[in-house]
Amino acid sequence: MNTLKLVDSPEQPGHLPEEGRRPPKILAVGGGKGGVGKSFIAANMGIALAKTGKRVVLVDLDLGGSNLHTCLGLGHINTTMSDFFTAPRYPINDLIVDTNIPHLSLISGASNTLDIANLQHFQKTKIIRNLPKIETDYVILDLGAGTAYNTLDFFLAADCGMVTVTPEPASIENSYRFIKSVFMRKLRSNQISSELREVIHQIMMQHHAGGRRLKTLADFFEETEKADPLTAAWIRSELENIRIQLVVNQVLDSGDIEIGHSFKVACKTYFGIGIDYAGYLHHDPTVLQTLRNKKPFLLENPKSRLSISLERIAHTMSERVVK
Amino acid sequence: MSRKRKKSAAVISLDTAKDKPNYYEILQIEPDARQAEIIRAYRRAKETYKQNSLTAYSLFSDEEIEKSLALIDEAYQVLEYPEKRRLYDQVHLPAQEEETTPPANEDTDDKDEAPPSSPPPASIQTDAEFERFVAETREFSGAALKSIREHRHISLEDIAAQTKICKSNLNAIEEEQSALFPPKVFMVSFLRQYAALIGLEPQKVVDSYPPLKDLE
Repeated sequence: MNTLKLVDSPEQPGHLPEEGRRPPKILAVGGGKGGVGKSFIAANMGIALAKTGKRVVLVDLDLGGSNLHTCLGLGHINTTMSDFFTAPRYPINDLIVDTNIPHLSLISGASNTLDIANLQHFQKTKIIRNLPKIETDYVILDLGAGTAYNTLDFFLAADCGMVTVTPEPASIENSYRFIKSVFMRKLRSNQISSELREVIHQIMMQHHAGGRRLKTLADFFEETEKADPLTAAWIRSELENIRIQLVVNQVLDSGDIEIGHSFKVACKTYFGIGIDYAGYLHHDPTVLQTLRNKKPFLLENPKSRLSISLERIAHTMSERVVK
Repeated sequence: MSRKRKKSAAVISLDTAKDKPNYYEILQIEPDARQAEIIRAYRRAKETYKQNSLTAYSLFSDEEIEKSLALIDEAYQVLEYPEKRRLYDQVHLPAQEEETTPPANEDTDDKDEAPPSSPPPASIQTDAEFERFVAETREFSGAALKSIREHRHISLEDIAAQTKICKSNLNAIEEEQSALFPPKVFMVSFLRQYAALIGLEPQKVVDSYPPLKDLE
């Protein structure tokens, strides 16, 4: 890993030239299990990018369980995602609130509206459609736990998605399940060309024509491989385009760091699809204390090993999203 | 995990690919991978399927893990040795690939350019002879280590980057400059890591590296 280099355009702190606004780069932070640090990483990655002079909007899409604002040290927020659905033409940029941190703002998910946790289809598509309209350099989506369709679709809406795991069995199992679900969801989404989708549909539905019933993604690939290896390779490359970035959080020793490499090897063997190991973050007992004090970690402990790793991962993610 | 499957997709594709599994795919490396990459890939693959591995149990059955481990060993035992690897490449790599990428056969290529400053021990001509020499070596001097490393096309920079051992320390190991050695505990650890990366048995090297015997 190279030395840390965060400021890539020193002459341009902040605002992009106005010539035809470029859409923001969208990063998602997901991973099957709850409590693995998604909101913490999203918030601090946002701070790290904002510190380099980039404009960042954090979007809390863990609706119903949102606490991204807490990781930023913010209290009650008046404007939230719920307001987005109060009027048909509500501009998404009006949802953005300040965070007291330069260049960093937030669209909060915190809300007392009961039904916000269960977004309807049109509400979800409204959000996804409007994400590129956010006026900023980077949008970071903080996703909820689990593999609900809404979560998967938000993940797929990003240009680059991070999967967070901690070195313990439940988290790793859930992450595999999450990745599988993302793959399955993408195969049925309109991100795949209609002709390929037709082929995929036929393979998945082959049991109607007396074929074998496919239950897992591996079954699916097995059948596709049998029918036509080229199609299988094509589908794999489509899924590889998701460019999943793995981050191992709360590592204690070098063995935990190796888990990221093993995870990558296992994914390649099992799915035949490559993912990237974007980095790891050390366990740091002071995190709990800063969270209790409702302070943003990266600003409270800028010199800590964890902060430096967070900045490095933010840098890695911002590089991966360009390609 | 809802239910264990019989076979993973990748294993299937290996079974059907001609009749031999592709060793590069098994170790998940490119056909032009350097020696250091092969060694690293091998260690990671073994690590993935080791006992009580957190990353393997929920995806693969015990039987699949055993099969994978056997394939990984088989692949490494060929790719580890340049001579065996070249033979394997000739038989298994598609011919057109060699045409489009001439330096695919990096061993011969490098040999032409290799600086004559540190030739492998006298009388060694082929890779096979060299590997035999390595296997039979009882004492790994700095010069021997250096020639093995160079023969395997691993640069000191590679080792420094992977182990985080400073290049001057690595140089001191090869030049046997005991005045520059760090304290013995570090020295042993450095030597181990260095040995592992150039594909030698770390303990064997530590036990036989001459300057270490004089170090208190």
